[in-house]
Amino acid sequence: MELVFNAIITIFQPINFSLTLLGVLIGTLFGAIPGLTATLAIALLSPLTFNMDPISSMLLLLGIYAGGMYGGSITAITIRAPGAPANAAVVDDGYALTLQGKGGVAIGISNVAGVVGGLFSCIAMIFLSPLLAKFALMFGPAEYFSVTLFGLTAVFAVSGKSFIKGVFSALLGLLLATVGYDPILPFSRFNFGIAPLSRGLSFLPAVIGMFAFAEVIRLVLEYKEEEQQMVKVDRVVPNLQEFKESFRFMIRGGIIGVLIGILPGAGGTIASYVSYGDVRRNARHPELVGKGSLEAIAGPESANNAVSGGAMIPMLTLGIPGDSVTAVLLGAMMIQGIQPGPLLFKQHLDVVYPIFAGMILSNVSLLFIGMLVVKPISRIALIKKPLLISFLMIFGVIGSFASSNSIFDVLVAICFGVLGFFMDRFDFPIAPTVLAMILGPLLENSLRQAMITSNGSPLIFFTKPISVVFLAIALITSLSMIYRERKQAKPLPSGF
Amino acid sequence: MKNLKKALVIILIFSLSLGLVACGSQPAQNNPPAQSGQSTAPAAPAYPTKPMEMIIVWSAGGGSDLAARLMGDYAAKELGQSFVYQNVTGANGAIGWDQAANSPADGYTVANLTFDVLTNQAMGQTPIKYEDFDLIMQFTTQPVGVFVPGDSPYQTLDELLAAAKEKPETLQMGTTPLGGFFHQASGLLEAAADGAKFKYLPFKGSAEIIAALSGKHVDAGIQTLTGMEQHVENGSIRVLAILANERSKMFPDTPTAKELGYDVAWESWRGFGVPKGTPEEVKTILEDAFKKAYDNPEFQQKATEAGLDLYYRGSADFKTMLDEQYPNVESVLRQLEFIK
Amino acid sequence: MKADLFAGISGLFLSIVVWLISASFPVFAVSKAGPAYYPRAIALIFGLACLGLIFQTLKKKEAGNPMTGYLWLRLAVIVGILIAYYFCIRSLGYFFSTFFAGIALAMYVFQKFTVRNLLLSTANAVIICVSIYFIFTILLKAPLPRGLLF
Repeated sequence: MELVFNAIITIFQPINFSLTLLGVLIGTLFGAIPGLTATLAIALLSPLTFNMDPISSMLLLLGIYAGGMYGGSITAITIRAPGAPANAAVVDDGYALTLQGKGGVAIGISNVAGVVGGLFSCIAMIFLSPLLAKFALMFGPAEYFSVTLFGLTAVFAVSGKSFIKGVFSALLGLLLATVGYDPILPFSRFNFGIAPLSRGLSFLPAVIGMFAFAEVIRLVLEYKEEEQQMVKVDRVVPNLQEFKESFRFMIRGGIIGVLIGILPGAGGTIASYVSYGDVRRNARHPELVGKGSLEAIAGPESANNAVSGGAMIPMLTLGIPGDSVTAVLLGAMMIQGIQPGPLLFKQHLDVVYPIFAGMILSNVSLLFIGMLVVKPISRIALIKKPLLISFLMIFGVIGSFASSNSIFDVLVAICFGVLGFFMDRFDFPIAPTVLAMILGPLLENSLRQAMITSNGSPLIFFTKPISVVFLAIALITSLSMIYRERKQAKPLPSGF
Repeated sequence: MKNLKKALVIILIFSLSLGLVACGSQPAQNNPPAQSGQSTAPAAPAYPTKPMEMIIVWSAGGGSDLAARLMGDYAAKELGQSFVYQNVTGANGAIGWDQAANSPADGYTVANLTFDVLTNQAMGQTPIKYEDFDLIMQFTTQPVGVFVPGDSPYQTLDELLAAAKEKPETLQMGTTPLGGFFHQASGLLEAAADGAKFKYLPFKGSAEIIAALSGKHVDAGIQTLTGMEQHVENGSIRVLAILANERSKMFPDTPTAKELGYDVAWESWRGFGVPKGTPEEVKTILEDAFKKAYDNPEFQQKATEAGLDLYYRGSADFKTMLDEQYPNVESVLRQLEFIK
Repeated sequence: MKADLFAGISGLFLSIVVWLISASFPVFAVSKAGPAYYPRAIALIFGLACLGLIFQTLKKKEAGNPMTGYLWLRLAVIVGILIAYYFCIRSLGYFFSTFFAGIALAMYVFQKFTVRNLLLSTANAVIICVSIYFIFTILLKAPLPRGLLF
């Protein structure tokens, strides 16, 4: 108990408190600017924290983590360019709401959802860590394959008008993800002798291309001088009614986020899409999803913030990072001489409790800072279009370069920009490609590991209980989505 | 004009917030006097007169990256300049080393080298050789160990290898991608136990191997000792043997493979090099600075806290070690049928 | 619909190419399922999906978003600017290429060449350039692309 009080005193020390707030602010801003992400902010800032007190540096990085998952939704909603991949799921509904004049409320809901999801994941982390860590350890190759396949069924939720086009986009993404090194053998595939291609198409530049550059191209093509958009963000704080309506999905998103967070490799982007699929199936007004539903903002935005707490669980209890952000956090802890692992909770509660308290604090302060920055950041939509376009282009270029200091990645982003533009133009959904590019390597890796384990027999997927459960869920969700979509597509089919 | 002002406000907020960070985080306060590098003095090498660049081939925030930055920061203090760190990742390091080896040989580009440079060279998929670098120093060594899940039936290395001999290719051994460092170590072990054969389950990295061991998805795993202490102490993972010449400080009661009669010692390392052809005087300055930084007690303490296994080799010793190690890498890869 | 047909056919072509290229991938003694295993499986499914798409497109005729000649021209210009920016940044480095690309794109979108627009674009480019330089190079000590002109 004394440790809990000490932890609270520690985080409320002026330096720690202000670093947490600063972290949230930096995270939100990096998240909001298309091209820059929280992961980049953490990677760039963590060397500067070497000389800081361990707790202070963790609090700063945790703040960035919390802010970064939320910030991108502001630009996704106001200018249709998601600041980070994890916010891409809210683009359709968010921008539709902006056009209806309800952009402010959409951002407000996104903020509240982020806080609810984040706090939910903190509670899960504090009370269920050992249990959830055990659960994560039950996942072997076969289980990973099935759960990844389940993740891919989210494709059906984001396929837009035509399923076959959604499947086409997803498979294209899976195919593009095979470029570069084989996950288990020392051989580089489809590199056509181009050296930088041998490491594969990096995910971040691809996403920057498909979202930011494609948007740049679209804006240029559709620009008309007379039309000076009057996107006004008036009311940001959602009213009780709006909050009540979407609260259900904030909790559901929280659960999805925590569960996806504890499984290494997937992260916020997948969590938000899976939650979007959940909203699509279970929303009160399913017909509104994709056309401006607050529920469809609440779910994904809660899920991506909840990933943070989920991903912290294997990182703290096993020393295994769940996503790129926790990987950097793990490094930052190790350089401070704190080795996360099964004994951290037994030996270093003096470190663990301040981390818990810090995560709660950063989520709570996200509520205030998030609301505070909405107006200034959403003014981005008021910048004259030509200037905004060149702003997006430059940050896209710098962002794709900075993710791995490779000028080649800028070219990758440009190519994906053109691809993304054409896909969008001709109604091929982009989201399935993005999903598939994240899940592709996980799918291949787990498939081939499972095949090695079983000596090539696919029966392994049907003999492990967890694997069977996820395969069944995957089958049921995809069938139900297809069925619903059919019913909606043909309003009055004969015989029904 | 109004819009312009708004744009300014946004960017100002952004810049200001980052400015605050700089204040809060006390960056290394070694501001060099001034960057007066317009004319180079003819005789005595005026080096370094501007910030230097360090190419790190692993991603930011990972173990190798942190180790390189820590060493680099202390060396930079000795040099009176700073390093700009560039993480150029991909293709098992080949991309970054290619860029480093083709940088001007003026001492302003330093490459962080790791064991994988040897693997890449032996596999023949990259034109870069370790000989393309003039070596500066080695500063860590990472011995590997053989680990089993806590409740594994195998109590000793002998029992494990005997089982692998009895039922070849059924015991699952967790490694990182095939052909890499851990797989090579395991291949050497197979050869030493003549006739033992494992079934290899490759994982992305150490963290995944630890998870597979804790979750009993593999029968055994080869792993560096770094980061294993807690798992062993906790009882979820046991260590059977260390594949090194000497016992480790971390697990003093665990025998080495050599003690058990298997002549296998396989260690990974980290070091620094500069592009071949860098002037001797510049190299001497770098070597001295890195050596001094290595001997700095503050560095030693920080590195130990961060779990690094420090080990120093100067440029000559480092070169000798690599000259010895490289043929072994080739031969084990041949034995594992990766190269002919 | 023309676009769908085009996508279907080129997708089919792509899957065949992937299938053929993977035929030349090496086989490793240590693992039965080699580097070609998974790409081939995906290419096969992708090819089937493309056939499905082609079939569906031929069956149902729907009008899509057309691309007019004017749009193609604008597309060519913007992609041209992006590519030029890429090559400039490679050779000249971050500062000048970003500055000029920023102005060029903004001016192109403005369409009207007035002093006011030029001033706005220039100020915009300067602010963005300097703030990125400030954040990356000065605060975070992270590298930006470099070239002949610093």
